Amino acid sequence: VTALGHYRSAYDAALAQHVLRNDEATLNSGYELGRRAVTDGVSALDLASIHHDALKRSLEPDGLDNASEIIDAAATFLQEVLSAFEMIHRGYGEVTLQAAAERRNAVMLRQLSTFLADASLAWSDSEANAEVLRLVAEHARELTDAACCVATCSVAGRRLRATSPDDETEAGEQVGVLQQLEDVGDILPRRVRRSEWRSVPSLRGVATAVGVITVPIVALDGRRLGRLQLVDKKGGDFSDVDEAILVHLAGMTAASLERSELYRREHVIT
Amino acid sequence: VPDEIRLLIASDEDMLPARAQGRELALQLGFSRTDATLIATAISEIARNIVVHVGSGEITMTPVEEDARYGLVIVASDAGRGIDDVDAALEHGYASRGGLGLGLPGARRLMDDFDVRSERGEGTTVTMTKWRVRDELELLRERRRKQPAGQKAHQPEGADRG
Repeated sequence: VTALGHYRSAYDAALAQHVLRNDEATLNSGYELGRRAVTDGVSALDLASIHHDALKRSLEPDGLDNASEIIDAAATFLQEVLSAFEMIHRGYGEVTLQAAAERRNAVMLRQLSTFLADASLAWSDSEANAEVLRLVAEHARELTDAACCVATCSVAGRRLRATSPDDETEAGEQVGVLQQLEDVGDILPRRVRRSEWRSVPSLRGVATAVGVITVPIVALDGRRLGRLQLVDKKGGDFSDVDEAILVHLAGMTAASLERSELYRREHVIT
Repeated sequence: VPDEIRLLIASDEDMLPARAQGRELALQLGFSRTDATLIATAISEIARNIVVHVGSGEITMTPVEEDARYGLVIVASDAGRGIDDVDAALEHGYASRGGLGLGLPGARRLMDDFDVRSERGEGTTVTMTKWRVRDELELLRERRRKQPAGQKAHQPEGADRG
């Protein structure tokens, strides 16, 4: 007897019990059979066929006398079995969305990488620098679904700052939070969850409870050139994936800054 | 509808009354049979989690009523060693990570709100809620039911003069 054959027998027996008793224990058997179908790799099509055959057998002894009740009970049982499939189906939907978001992020990072490579020759021009930093802040915010990003860096002895709020009307409040965080300084952990806000000693003076992520922009020799700081991720806290994206983005920004510095020095020398 | 139901979970057998009471409460609150099944399944998943990982715990079910919706809040708590990385526990089971998507992440997907609080050595509390939006007809019926006897609904002047 194959694994599917064993499953079919168990399903037959459980449905027959449910038709007879129709209680929580027999429904629970349906739920367990659903979980087993998922772990054993029984397909939804196999399940449809198994349920159909089992229902037909349940109807045979009584003919059509109480067919309606049996069919109703079998439908409730099938719902229990399928609830495990529902969990998997919803998970698949989430993973598909996540994969689409990752593809979009990869495209955005590629575009920004090309842009930064081209722009590194213009970093010495202060207006171009500000524009580049604004673009970095905008990409950082969009890639992580944050409410606001503030990017700061030092170029040729000048300190630059770019702010990218998702909603201009709320920008003041978000920038205010980030300003307070700037005063807190470097002792802030890289990621602060909303729930952890109160437990971070350096944040006790900051009134608004929001999630924060801070990623430094570090040169190859370890010099700190600036940082990306984002607040309030939509629908939750900043994740490992967000942090990885921002570290990548900060690395690209640092490389671009260093290239521009080399280019500037070369021009001064020549 | 009871104000609250509290159940001890210490074995697989304890899952049955938890499922049954959750389903019953959901149906009393007007949830569909499908939603009641999903609620029973989510209860099973978090109860199984307690039995497998901790041994025993408690499940509390509380109906809540808001202006435009009914909800069923289910809180599962235990005094175990806690979950080291809640995010990982909730993501474990994603197809992309090699799991099947049952357990805690599965329960999260079946409910509308889902929150896990866990402290090392302090135990874990899972709070999950399923909501049912009340339609206009239901709200109108309720307003009429609550209206004092003999008081008619306001009608525009002359509306009943033919």
